[in-house]
Amino acid sequence: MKKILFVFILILPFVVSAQKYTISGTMKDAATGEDIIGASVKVKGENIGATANEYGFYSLTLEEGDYTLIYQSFGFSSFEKSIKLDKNINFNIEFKSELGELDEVLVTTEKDDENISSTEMSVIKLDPKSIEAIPVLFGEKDIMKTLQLTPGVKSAGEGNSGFYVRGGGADQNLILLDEAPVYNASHLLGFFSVFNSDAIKDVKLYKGGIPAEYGGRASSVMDVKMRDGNRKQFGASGGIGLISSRLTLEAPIVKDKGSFMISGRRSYLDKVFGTVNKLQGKDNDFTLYFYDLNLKSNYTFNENNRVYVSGYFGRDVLKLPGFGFNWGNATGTVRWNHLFSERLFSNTSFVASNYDYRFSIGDGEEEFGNKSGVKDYNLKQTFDYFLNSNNTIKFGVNIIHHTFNPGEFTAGSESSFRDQKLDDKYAFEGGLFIQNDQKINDIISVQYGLRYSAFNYMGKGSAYNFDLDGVATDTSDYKDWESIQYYGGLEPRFSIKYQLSDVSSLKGSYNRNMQYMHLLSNTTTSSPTDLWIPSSNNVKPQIADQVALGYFRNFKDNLFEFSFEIYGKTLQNQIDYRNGANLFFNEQIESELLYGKGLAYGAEFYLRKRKGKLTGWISYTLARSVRQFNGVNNGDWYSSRQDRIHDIAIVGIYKLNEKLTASANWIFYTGDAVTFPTGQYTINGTSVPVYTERNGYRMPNYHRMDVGLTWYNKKTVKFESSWNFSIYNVYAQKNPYTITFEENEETGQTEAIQTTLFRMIPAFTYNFKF
Amino acid sequence: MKTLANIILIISMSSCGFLKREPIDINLNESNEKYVVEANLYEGTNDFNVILSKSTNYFKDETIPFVDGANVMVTDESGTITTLTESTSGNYTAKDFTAVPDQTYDLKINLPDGSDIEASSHLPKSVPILGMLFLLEEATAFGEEGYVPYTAFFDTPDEANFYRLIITINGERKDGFEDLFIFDDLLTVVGEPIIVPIFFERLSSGDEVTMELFSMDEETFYYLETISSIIGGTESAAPSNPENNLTNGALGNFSAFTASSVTEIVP
Repeated sequence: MKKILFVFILILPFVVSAQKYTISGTMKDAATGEDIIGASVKVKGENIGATANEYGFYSLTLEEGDYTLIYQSFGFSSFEKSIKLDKNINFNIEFKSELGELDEVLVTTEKDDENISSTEMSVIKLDPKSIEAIPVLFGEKDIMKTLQLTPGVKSAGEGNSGFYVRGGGADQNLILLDEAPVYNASHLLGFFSVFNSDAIKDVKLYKGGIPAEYGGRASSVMDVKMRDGNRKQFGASGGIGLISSRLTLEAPIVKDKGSFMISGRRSYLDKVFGTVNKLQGKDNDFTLYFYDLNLKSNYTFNENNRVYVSGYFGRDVLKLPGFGFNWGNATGTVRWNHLFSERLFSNTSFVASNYDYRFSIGDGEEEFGNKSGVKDYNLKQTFDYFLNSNNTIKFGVNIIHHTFNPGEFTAGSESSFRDQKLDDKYAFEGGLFIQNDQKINDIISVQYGLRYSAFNYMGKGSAYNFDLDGVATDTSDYKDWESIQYYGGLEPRFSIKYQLSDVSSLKGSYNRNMQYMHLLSNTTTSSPTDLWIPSSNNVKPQIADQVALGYFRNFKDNLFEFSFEIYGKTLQNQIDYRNGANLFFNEQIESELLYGKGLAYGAEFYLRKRKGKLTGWISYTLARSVRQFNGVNNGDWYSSRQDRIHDIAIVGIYKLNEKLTASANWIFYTGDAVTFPTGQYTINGTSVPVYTERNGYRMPNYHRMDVGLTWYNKKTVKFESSWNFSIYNVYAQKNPYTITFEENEETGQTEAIQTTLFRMIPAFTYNFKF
Repeated sequence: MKTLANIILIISMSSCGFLKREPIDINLNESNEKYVVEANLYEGTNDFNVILSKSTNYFKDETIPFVDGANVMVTDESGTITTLTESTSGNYTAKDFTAVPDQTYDLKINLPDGSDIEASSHLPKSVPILGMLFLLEEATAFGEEGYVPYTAFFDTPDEANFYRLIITINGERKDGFEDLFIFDDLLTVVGEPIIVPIFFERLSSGDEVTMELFSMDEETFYYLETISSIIGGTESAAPSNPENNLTNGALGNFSAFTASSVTEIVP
């Protein structure tokens, strides 16, 4: 707590000042009424300004006087306003888009040199519009796959939307959709993400320098914001693709006061496969689809109060005769923005989130099945205090109640098995944070913050103690709400920017992140049955400490953007599994776990061309990620699954003319570290592999090229439509999805078998908007 | 349950021709030789065989290197030592050895290099199979229309039981790891017969079916479970050698099984 006091003391001197007044308000897009995140206001001729928060609210406090203010947002015409500041002023502005001059392909809401001037580092921002032209698998545009083309973010596998950030695991990414955590962000085993680009306004991925307001995961935060819906007029947009179709409707509730947006997507992969099968004369008796539904509504009651309600419902469904399996997320967020004063902005959020899967085998009375999941209720209160033009303070509190259902087995009446439910597990997770964005002078600015996070694993339930071999030594029973294990810790966060010149800066950051929930998965692919477990008397929270340094430079009047970052990260209390671990329906699942540590470090290069006929970027990452566990690999350090030494992505988008845009990307990365056998022996007439080193081998290097073409065949003020054609893996590179070691049934010889998934997959999508 | 994920993957991908499997060349390291013990002891009076060999390099095309000249002994709970004799290369046998349920047996192997491998395995109480019945099932994901065989038996109460079923259809005994069917009694109702359907078998009228039920200790169960998970192409992110009950880093296992069986003709 001493450290928090220290922060306040740092801030105090700035409070003492002459007569000052505040200009505040919201910044919106004139065409749709959507809030613009990160738009800015500046005093002309001076280096003083403010930036809009995630709700488009800005507040700038200046000494009494006459000023000319410049409002700016990338992709919009800037706007000048002269004011006489002798009282507090409320001024809302609506930006008009730079039609004509605007490059449709790479619109971002950031200002031209924000990458240089902002204190933030290790951050990737994406606007779903910016990814429209990038070719993707099956033509399904996907923000998670586009993020994988940027430095420090690696794909979790061929065609997979899961990702690793700076050597961390896929479960160490906090994925938020309108503040609600999404526990399984993928459809169909990871080939598609749950984010329907039509419903998304803004995506921000923090790889490092994570602000204190975020907590709960060790490696990164992916903050996804849904669109609010058009506040000016009715609009519809959608698309028809090879495997799925989308439709989004939006309209004002009361013009300029409130709006709603509803966006749906459903795949019909099974129908496509079914048709292919029928043509080949095969039976087709299976159902496989997913759907997403995004809903959002907001209403401004008056200048000081605004309410948002948003929800997401998505599910995957697989049905075969005698077999059923479905899984999905549901989230809901209610938010209330309240202005206590021109300088104090408050947001209160109530968030509910649920993930579950269920499957059944057999029919009717002989059916048996299982279900499992995790459910959260989350209350979050944050305040933005715009102290003065040099300090923006954010502080708040967050409390989450988690319910884990590890497994619920149901048996049909005719079965000889009995219904059984593993005890639900409960926990409270809390966070208390304060941070300040402080501009010290024109050269140096800092962001510093402190988060105290806590986790209380509690009853009702049983807690086991295990010996070194994972055998239970004793059991204790706990009553409702009784604390079984409490963890807490301080998470300092710090970032600094040192401006070298108008076009270049140096940045550094340090952050500690604690993670109290852990995903157990021992397969190579992400599976809906992967299990979330809480920290407990046996499982300690994961702790990550990261230091990053970066050099940022823009060229040719911000036409080119370049960055070079290096980072080092230590990971404590990482989780691995004992040999032959059974993670499925296991009361004493903690007995199957091993604990160790990790280390990740690397360098990231990024060069992007932002405007003109040709846009795109080159990204290169050189990185290592290693782990050490007693009981694995003789206790020696070994490469983790995330250990990919080289990772290159080149993305190019070329605007041929007003109607045609061509695009291509090329990806190369070092093959994943894998465990291959070193020998074999014969048991029961079958060849059995012998394993020695963990992850001692490498898969072959991965590379592929995708190409795309977008044809805007109709474009009027009222109606827009386009066709998108793409080919994934255009030169049909056989990239291994898995390599397995088997005995050839005919010859009896042992052999390595490579499974390849996607070679030259063409796709087309028709998109419209009116 | 990891197979669930693969069911979806395989169905969706292979039906559209996305999935392609082909052999590739991979360079693997030379491995250190390890001893391999295959010792299965069955309830009742049978020949008890122990096969002793060594592991080889993965792709090496060579005959199995059996280990000759070892001294192999089995000891029962009363301390009676039976020495096995080497019948063929690496194959050690105790003729007409009687194994009694609810007893622990110790295996000791003195290797020609002077080192020892030891193991002990508990032969559980006998669990007799009650019988079989056949129910006509419509086509499901697990097979065409046909008769699904069910078997029934009473679980031994008050102790954890671990089972394996081997089915023989018209003389073809499905005893390979690819057909391994093992289960425990974690979810069964105490005092009621356990009725187990063999989902993936679809039989026709007139088929002759033999069902063998084996009961084993927990270590042997985990050995079978872990060995089957690495055979025929594992999906595990971290495959490792099976857990076993042998000392000295040896591969294989010393497994003791109770056994009972029934044979019936599908009506």
